[in-house]
Amino acid sequence: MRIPIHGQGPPDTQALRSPVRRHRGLFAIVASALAVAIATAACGSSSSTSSGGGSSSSSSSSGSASAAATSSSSASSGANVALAKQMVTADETPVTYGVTAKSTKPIPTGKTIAYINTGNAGGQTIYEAISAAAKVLGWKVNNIATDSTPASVHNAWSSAVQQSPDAVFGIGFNRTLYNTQLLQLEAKHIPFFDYSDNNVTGNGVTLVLEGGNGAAAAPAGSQMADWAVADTNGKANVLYVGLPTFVILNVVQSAFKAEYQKLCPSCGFSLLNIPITALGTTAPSLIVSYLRAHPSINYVVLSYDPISVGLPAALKAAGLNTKVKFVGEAPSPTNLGYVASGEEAATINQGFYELEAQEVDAAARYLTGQSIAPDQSLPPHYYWIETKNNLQSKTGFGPVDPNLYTKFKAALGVQ
Amino acid sequence: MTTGIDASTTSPAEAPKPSDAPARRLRVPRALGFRNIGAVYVWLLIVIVFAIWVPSTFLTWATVRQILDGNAVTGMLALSLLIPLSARVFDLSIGYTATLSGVITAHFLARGVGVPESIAIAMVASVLVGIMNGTIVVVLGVDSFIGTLASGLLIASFITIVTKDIPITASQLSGSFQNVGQKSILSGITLPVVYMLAIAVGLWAVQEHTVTGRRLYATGFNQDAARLAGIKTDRLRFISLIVSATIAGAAGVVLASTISSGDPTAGTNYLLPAFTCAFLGATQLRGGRFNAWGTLIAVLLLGTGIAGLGLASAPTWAPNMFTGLVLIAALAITGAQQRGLHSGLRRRFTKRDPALITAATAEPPHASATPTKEGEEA
Repeated sequence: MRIPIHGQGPPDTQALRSPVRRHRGLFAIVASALAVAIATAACGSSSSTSSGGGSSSSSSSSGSASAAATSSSSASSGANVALAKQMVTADETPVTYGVTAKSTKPIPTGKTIAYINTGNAGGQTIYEAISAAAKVLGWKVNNIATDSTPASVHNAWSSAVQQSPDAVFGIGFNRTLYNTQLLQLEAKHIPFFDYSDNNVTGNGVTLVLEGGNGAAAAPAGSQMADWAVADTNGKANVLYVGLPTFVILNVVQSAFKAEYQKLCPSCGFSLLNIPITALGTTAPSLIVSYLRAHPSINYVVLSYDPISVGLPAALKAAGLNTKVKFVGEAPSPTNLGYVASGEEAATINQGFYELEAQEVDAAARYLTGQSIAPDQSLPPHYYWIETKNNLQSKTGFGPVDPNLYTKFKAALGVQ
Repeated sequence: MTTGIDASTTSPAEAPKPSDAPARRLRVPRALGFRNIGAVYVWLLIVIVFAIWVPSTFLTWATVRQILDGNAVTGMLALSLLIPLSARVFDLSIGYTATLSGVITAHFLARGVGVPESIAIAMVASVLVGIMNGTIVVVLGVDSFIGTLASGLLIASFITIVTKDIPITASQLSGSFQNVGQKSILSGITLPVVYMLAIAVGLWAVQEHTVTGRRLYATGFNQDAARLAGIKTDRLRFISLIVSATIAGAAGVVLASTISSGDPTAGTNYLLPAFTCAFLGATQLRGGRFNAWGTLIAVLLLGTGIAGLGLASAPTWAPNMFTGLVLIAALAITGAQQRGLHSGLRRRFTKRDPALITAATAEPPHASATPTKEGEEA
């Protein structure tokens, strides 16, 4: 219902008064709330700036001043550029399939693997990689989808128990979500092969690659340090973008800082942690804001490469694309596209197909009563630096070792 | 400029009287009142705070560009909601529609189809999504909240079929297609800002200056009454869903160009920010009605805060806290003023015609930014 009020009754003298005066109480409350929030934000700044790769990291609420200080020190000499470049050359060697031990028993066909899929791009890539290796053996893979919510993970594991497959493969979920089902699988003598989470072998877990405390992920961090120092000729001033949600990334960050400090003690280092909710939305804006506030930074290092989705456009719009480069690890296909077009300097890629072939190899050996000792380590050069010049694929993931399945079949004695 | 109880419907017979002069004088203060532009005051406060906090970097043209460029897609998606929300229809599928159009564009570009053709195919798909939504909500009579959520899931499954949940990349996405979302014009402002403004102007024209716009609002206010008054409400609701899907599809194409990829999750991240801006925008300028300029104010208000916090190196939790506080602050200001107005009207009308009290103080039954249960059709 609309009621015409203009022209009815006397003028509302209240309305003629200043809006601020009329609502000064409310205005004061709102202003105070915002001021308190912003002041709290200022006091609790998570960014830190230091030189020497973070050995003396200090909290900084006024980034500009800290960045200026960092800038002066980063330009100084002392960087071991030659070593960094030497490391980069070694780091650019891509993954190979490393299992050569011959199977002593014939591998049966017709086995079934149940795979608990995370429901995102990484989980799907792993599924494709498992399927490719399983197909070679004449095995079948049941893809049990989740949306990564605890309830869906729990249900997926219950489905896996009901299916009674020959083996279960998983990736990246906290064991507390499926501990009951894992013990049920163990009681049924069904092995579980895991990848990339905090599990350790035993108590239902047959094999975990890149697991435990995540130490196996350290090369990704050190390779990014090698690259940043080499690519800047020892004049790097790095903004490291962290994603605290993923605990395993702490290992990557620590490895980066250790290598960075070793190669270039005087190079600048700043840390910007971003929330998981910023991925795909405000992350580029947060990074660009930081770069504008700290103009001496010349390199962005991403603890998780998909953070950079949209970053090239944001850098370009801010006029920073010619001044600031970025490198990340664990790329998505979008990142591979950025590397191919030169918008991203480099990425630390992973050999998913080689790794999953190794896990299927482990399953084959386990199911035939053999030792899985040959499968305990990550494939050689599992992490490697990919640039525009040595990019394996511009559009996605696949086998990198050209002889992957030849070696795979040879080791298992499969024709 | 209006009050929450719209003056624009004053009949000609009632109009020019000597007593109108003071009323006209009221318009400027009312237009500048907290109730009308509360978010603008909050925005100004934020600008002042950051101008003091990080003066060297915040008060620059680069910041303006960053805020505009960085929020153009959010703005487009927020604007896509205005027409259906005005007709009291929720479209929860816009994020999926945006993703779908981006993925389709990338899919065809990667297979060598030209840029215009790929975009055209994506836009056709978006219109089809709108038709599907209209059929579900209007023809089948499914509640829009549930119906569009369900259709969104259908779209998501289709996206998975096409992409296998893996982003589509190709060199063609880095070529001329990037101009769609990254080309700079006018001192570094990128094209998506122009698209956003163009959509806002179009929606403003429709909502404020056409019979269709008034009928949309009427449908949203009271669908049964509007239908009894001869308005084809079902047709309007159907069309509103096509409009939202089309604008969301356009935003998806722009987003795909911006990130140079057909990402199977790209658009879904924007659903909540878009609704946030649309609802916050409804508290501005038009007193509870979803409107284009209010929505843009909301988009820029939140964008300014995020950019400023970034410049000030604020901690991880600051952006979310900021957004929550700003929403509460802006809505509290508006709500307080609304309550003040109602009290004033009550006092004024009590001395005249008690029968008017109820009508004057009644909340518009829908289209208010104050959340209401959708089932409670007036």
